[in-house]
Amino acid sequence: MTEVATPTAARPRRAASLGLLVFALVVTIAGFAQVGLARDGSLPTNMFGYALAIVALAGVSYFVMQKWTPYADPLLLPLAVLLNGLGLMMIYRIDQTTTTDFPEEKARFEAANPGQEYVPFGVGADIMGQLMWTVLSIGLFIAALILVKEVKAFQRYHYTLGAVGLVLLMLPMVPVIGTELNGARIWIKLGPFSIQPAEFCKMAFVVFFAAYLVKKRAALSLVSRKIWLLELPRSRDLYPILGFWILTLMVLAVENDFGTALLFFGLFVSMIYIATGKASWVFIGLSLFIGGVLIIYIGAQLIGIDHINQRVEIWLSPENYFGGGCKLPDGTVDNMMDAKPTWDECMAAGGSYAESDQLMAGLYAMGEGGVLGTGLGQGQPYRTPLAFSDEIFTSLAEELGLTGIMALLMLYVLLVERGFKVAIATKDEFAKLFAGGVSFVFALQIFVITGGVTKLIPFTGLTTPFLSQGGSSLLANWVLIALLIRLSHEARKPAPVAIQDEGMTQIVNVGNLR
Amino acid sequence: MNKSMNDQLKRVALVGLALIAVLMINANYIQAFQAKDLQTHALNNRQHQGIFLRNRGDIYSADKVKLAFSEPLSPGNKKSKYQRKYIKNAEVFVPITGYFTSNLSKAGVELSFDSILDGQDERQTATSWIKTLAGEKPLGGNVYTTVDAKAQQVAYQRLTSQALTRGAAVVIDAETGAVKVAVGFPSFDPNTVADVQKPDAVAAALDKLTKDRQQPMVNKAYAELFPPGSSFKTVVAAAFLSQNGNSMETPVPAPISTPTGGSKPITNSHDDGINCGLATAPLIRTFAHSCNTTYALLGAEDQYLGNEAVRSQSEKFGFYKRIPIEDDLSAPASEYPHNVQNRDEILRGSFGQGETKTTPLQMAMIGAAIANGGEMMKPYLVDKAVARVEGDDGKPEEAGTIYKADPSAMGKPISSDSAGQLQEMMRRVITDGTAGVLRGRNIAGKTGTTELTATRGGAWFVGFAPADKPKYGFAVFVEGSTDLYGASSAGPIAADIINALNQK
Repeated sequence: MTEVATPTAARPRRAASLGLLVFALVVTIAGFAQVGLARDGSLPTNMFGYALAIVALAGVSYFVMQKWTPYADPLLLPLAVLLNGLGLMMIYRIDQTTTTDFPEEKARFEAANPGQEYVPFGVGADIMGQLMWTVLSIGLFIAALILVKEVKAFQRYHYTLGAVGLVLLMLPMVPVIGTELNGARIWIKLGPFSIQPAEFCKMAFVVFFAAYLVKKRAALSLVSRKIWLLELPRSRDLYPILGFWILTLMVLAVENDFGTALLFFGLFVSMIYIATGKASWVFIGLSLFIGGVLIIYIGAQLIGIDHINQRVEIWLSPENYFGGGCKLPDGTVDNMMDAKPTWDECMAAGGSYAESDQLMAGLYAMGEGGVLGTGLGQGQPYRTPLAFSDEIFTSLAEELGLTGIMALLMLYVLLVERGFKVAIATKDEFAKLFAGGVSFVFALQIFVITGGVTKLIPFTGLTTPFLSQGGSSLLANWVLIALLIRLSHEARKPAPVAIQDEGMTQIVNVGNLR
Repeated sequence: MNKSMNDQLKRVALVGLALIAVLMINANYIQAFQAKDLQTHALNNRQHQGIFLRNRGDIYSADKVKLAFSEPLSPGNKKSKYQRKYIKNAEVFVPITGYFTSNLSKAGVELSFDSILDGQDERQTATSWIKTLAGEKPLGGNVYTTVDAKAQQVAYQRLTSQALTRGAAVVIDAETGAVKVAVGFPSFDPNTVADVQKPDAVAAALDKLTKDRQQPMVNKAYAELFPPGSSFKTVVAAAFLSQNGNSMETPVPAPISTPTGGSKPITNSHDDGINCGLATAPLIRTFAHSCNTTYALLGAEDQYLGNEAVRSQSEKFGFYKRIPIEDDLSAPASEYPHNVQNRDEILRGSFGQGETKTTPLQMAMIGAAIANGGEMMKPYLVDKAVARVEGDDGKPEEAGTIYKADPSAMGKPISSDSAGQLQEMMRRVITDGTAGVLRGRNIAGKTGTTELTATRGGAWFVGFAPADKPKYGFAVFVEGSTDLYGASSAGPIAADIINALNQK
């Protein structure tokens, strides 16, 4: 390897970071303003409060970052602030609709469903709650920046963290606390709080895998047999991946969430590959995953566990399930749109009931947006169920159009790219694996949730990082950003002064001479 | 083992970025290419949102009579709802305009030009894209139909004056296929189902209309099938003429009676021993005097013509498949019995009784093909559509033409020679045949009478006009009239409609 990844310009990028941060804040606050102008023709009255809160949070973060990690990558904080701000803006926009009445919708609903209570659009969107979570998350971010001097410190607790991750992953399967949302059990409910453990689980696993692979990468790189281009590892080295494979398939079978299974297995395989550089691991991983998924789905088909295949069917032909579809024991799907009450009738017929309304409504929102979008505050993203969380991507796609979400996806591209850059710049093996794993799982999560709402893969209930309404996701992602910032600071900061004093000849950068 | 892991990190980074790139490609596919399909997807009720807040375009007749338009409920208020309104006596124009109910069901031009009328059509957006970029929504476009309002009024008025149960009249410009007249009876006033402020009244009105046994919401001009009676003999005669060596002077059997397998033999309405009621007579005489036995035998006996030849000719005229008129607007498929073992059904079907069923539009198209030298044009209702934008004074202004009809042929069901002979035969019906009552009206055609029962029966007149210089093909059908003969009930109506069309 001829190039050296350590950045040569090891100087703080204060101005760049500040400029980008100001840009992120301007975009966010202008977004708030536009929602008000488009909806009511005036600036939202509470906008200044929100703006002040966001500016203050960003300002403090910037200050802390400059003080404790001055050499950090200048892009990470502005990217996180912009993404979080765009999420707040969209949640605010949908929250606003809740307060507006839809008298006609209400009348139509009540005429069609006598005795049932009308649920207005946008119900559940909560800008105040999300602002509070943002404050907590950025607080945690600041705390992490100040307190975590060495990301390597986590390496010591990797078994503990691995166990915590395992428990978190299994928690939603536990009957009482695990709750089912949209057919998938990836949430747990503790009193008034619902938590998506996958968010914290993802961090715990990254730490565990990184530490484990630092120890085992030599062994896992050994080749026992070579079949054509494939360098097979020793069979006993296969046990960990097989163990994790079984765990992932349990997630798929019990939690019924293809996305979560893909997320964790993809994370594991990518990290093994980073550690060993052996393509055979990728091959083994992919074969296991595809084989396992087929076993589960075909097995479910044979045994007759309908609800597992139903998620795939909804993905393939959502029309049948629009307004509620009932898969009858003979395998046919009866659309129950006009039957009331649908659930009871389906159960009485011995069928399995599911709806595709959220997926379809999200796609309709995207169609409505087209290339240029309807404009902020001028679309109807609130028509999609969970427009502020699961479907926030399609809500943005409706109002900002293809143009807007291409820019949004570019923000994610930048964030992932900066994350990998940190991984490459870092010297320590654990830190490298950690940063690489975190960056990849971030990209994979965006793929899984966004691919789900855009009907690229079966729908999943994971959150869209920084955008979705919800505390667990925001907390976890801000902590990850803090750790990446810390790592990038460590990687980019100049070598200790004492060495420099011995003269310039001592710090010749070999890579640059070549 | 690679010591630094940097190569792997780069590759994994590329995979991660590739995943997001896939999302980008997918988003492009959905929002740039699929957007239109998603917006108009059958299950997507967003397309109905705000539909009453938009100024839906006008529908005009060819002579610029405004047949349908939208009015703001509270003028001056930008957020006012619009009320769809139809011309006074709108029941006359329903086969053209269709309807647009306040619970969003649509038919006719309202359905097939919905995206233009609603202002959501891409073509419309393209003409005013600068305004679209500036955030202005385009207004609904105007649609200009081919129908002649004056002739349409005459047609409806004459149909209803016959005290009948059902009836229809269709006139087509033979050269282009433009529908000049399309009326049906019974009809209904689309205003009664359009009131956006009274959804309950509309629901009740719709319920009553759909339960009506006469089906007034199904227009009789092109949406319902009737037995064509003797007017179907035109198709059999066309099939006969298309056989080698046959002409209108070729002798064909015209016996007094043709036995059937059933109880009642087929007879003629009158047997004078010159035209009908003799061993053979020239084709033209059996046509002019409408000998049932001739056409029953032609259709059933291969030695004369045969079932397959008539079926094939029917198909060339457009039977057995829906007739396209506009997008989402077509006429049901006409039928002539074939592939049946029952000889009686073929015998009766061959002079337009029993299982033979057709629409007035289909019969008018046959008249038009004969008038047009054998070439049959695709019928159409809309001549052009014009985009509208908001003018400087806030009033809608017409902008560019975004749709123009492009007349096209559906085929050539008969040769020009056959067409000429059929024209002559149809003229003979007037000069020396069943429609002598129409002498001097410069019109030619074939009469038809369907199964005479005590209370119900229908009369047809199918042909072309003017007789000396064919320009229009037409079909008029009346049912339940006190006068059940095609010549005396349907014929004069046709002559009056053509008269109104020619008065310019």
